[in-house]
Order: sequence, then structure tokens, then C-alpha cells
Amino acid sequence: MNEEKTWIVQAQQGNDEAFTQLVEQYQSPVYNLCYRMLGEPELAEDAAQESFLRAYQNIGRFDRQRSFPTWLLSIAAHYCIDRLRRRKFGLISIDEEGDDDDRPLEFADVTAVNPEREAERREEQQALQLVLQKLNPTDRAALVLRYWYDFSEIEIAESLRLTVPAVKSRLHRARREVARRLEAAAPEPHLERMPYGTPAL
Amino acid sequence: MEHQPFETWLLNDDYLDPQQQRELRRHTAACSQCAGLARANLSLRAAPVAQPANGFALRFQRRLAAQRQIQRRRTYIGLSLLTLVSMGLLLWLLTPLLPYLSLSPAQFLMTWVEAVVFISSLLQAFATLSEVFSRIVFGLIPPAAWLVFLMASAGFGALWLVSIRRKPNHEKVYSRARL
Repeated sequence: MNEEKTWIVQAQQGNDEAFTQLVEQYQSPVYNLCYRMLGEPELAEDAAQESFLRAYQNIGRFDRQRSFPTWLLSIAAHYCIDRLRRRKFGLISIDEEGDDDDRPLEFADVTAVNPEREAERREEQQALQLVLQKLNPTDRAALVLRYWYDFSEIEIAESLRLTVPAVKSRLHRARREVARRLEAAAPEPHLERMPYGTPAL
Repeated sequence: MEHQPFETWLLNDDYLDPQQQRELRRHTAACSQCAGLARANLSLRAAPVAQPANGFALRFQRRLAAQRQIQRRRTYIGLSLLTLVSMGLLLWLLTPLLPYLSLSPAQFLMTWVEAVVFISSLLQAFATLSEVFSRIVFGLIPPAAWLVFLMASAGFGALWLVSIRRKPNHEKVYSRARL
């Protein structure tokens, strides 16, 4: 943690090497958030890179009393929400969106037991990813911050500039929606993470 | 136990003690709606963290370098445009002075002396006019009226200062209310 603070201070003083250390440290959480928000690896890569670029441009204004990952993920979430809105209103060209080849994302796999189980697990993940894409962008961001980063409702509210009751209501709505859409074909999910762990950070 | 508390636990994704977990399991075995919510929560918690392709930081460095190059180019173009516009403006401002360049030094000096004399006489005329005007005004308006005018000005000034000091307080209250 101290090391991180040192990197932040150095990055604020214009040290690119220190900022690169921060990129190394947080590439997975930021990429994962972008992937869960946008649904495609190419778009997620582009959004994650852009989020880091925005963080780099604004690092001077970062308040060191705040949590750096919360600040960084807030930038990424807002970028993705903005991008999804622009996509909805047709303001992003097809070229800008990247190749739409529906390629399944390769997750880091350390627990693969057999090909059948692996295929089943991928199917589950793709189903969940499809369901996430159907949610309202802000609801989706709230859900991702809650489940992948274990953010409290207050932290989500701060990150997404919402009120705490609004976050609660959005989470309720999103959970109902996910349950409704998964209900039909959901097999019993294979638990890879601790139920209340926060592996993303 | 009724359905509602279980649904609330699941919608809030509350932390449950072992007894509550047992009760929830019993309920979800009979309630498809809550079973669906429980499955959704479990699926979300079970989802892995997506990893970027190797070399993410390197790609970021390249992107940053490209961004800086674009920024430098923009700055260069902006500065060039500013210089051109400034030079054009300067030339346009100097155009009326260009005929003076064709004058002999003596003519040039005479022109400048004439200009200085004209300006000084203009200033003198203005000073005389102001003096006459102020004499008339001070003579017409009684001292009591001046006193009232000065007091009113001071009052308005004080009100203005108070309103300036109060404004930030309103903003603070507003931002607290928003939170």
C-alpha cells in the first residue's frame, strides 16, 4: 500500500515510470470492469487504455486521501457508460467499435478439470455476460462494482455520482433482471471464487 | 416464515448467519422466485475476473507516446496560427503609420511636435471643462444632499459585501443536501 502511495506521488510529479507501475497494478480490475460493461474484448481493451489515459491526464487532481482504485474504476465506469450511451444514439462508427466477431473471452484458467466442465463453465459465463449486456448501463456498472470489486453502496454512489437509495434501488432492479433472464436455463453455477471474496482488487 | 424477508435478504445480498442460511435454503427449495434470485447472486459471485492480453502496460506506453505526439502537433499548429494572426494584426495596426516612413526627418519631427501640441491642448481643454462643471455642480447641490448621497452609497456597499459573504454558505448547504 505504501508502495502504491509512493507511485501515486511520483506520478503526480510527472514520473511516467511510476504511472506505468500503477497501470501494471490495476490493469486487470480496470479491464474486467470495461469487459463486463462493454461485452467485447477489443472494446474492453480500448476502453481500459482510454481510462488509464484519462487517469494519467488527471492524476494531478487526484486527492490522496481518497482510494486510488475507487477513483480509477470510477473513471473507467463513467467512460464505459458514456460510450454505451453514444453507441445507443449511434454516435460511434462501426470502425471505432472494432471487430464484431463474437469471439469468446479467454479467462485465466487455473481450475480446469475436464473439457466438458470447462465448456459448461464457459457457457455459463457467456450466458451471464449476455444478461449483463441487457441491463441499463448505470445498473450494470453498479452491479459490476458490487460483485467484482465488493464496493459498498456508499462507494458505488460516490463512484457513479448517485445517491445511496438510488444505488440500492438500481441493485435491486438489476438483481431481479439478472435472475429473471438466467432463470430459464441456468444450471447450478460452479463457484470459483469465495462467495464474499474480492479477487478483482 | 413469509416470502418477503427472504426476498429482501436476496435482493440486498445480505450476509447471513448459518441459521439464516439454513432457513433460506429451506425457503428456496419451495420458492422458484427466490431460487432464481439466489442462483443469480451465486452466478455473479462465481464469475471470474477477465484478464487483458499480455503487454497491456506496454501498449499503454505506446498509446501515451502517440497521444503526446498528437498533443505536440496540436500545440505547434496552434502556436503557428497564433503567430500568423498576431503578425497580421500588427501589420494592420501599423498600416496608418506607413506614410510617415516616406517623410524627411525634419517633417517627421514637425508632425510629432504638432501631435504632441494637439494632445496637450486637448487635455488642457478637458481639464478646464471639468473644473467649470464641478464648480457648477458643487454650487447647485447643497451639502446635506451630498451627505445623504454618501451615506446611501456606503449602505449599498455594505449590503453588497454582506451578499457576497453569504453566497458560499448557501452553496455548502446545497452540496450537503445533495449528499
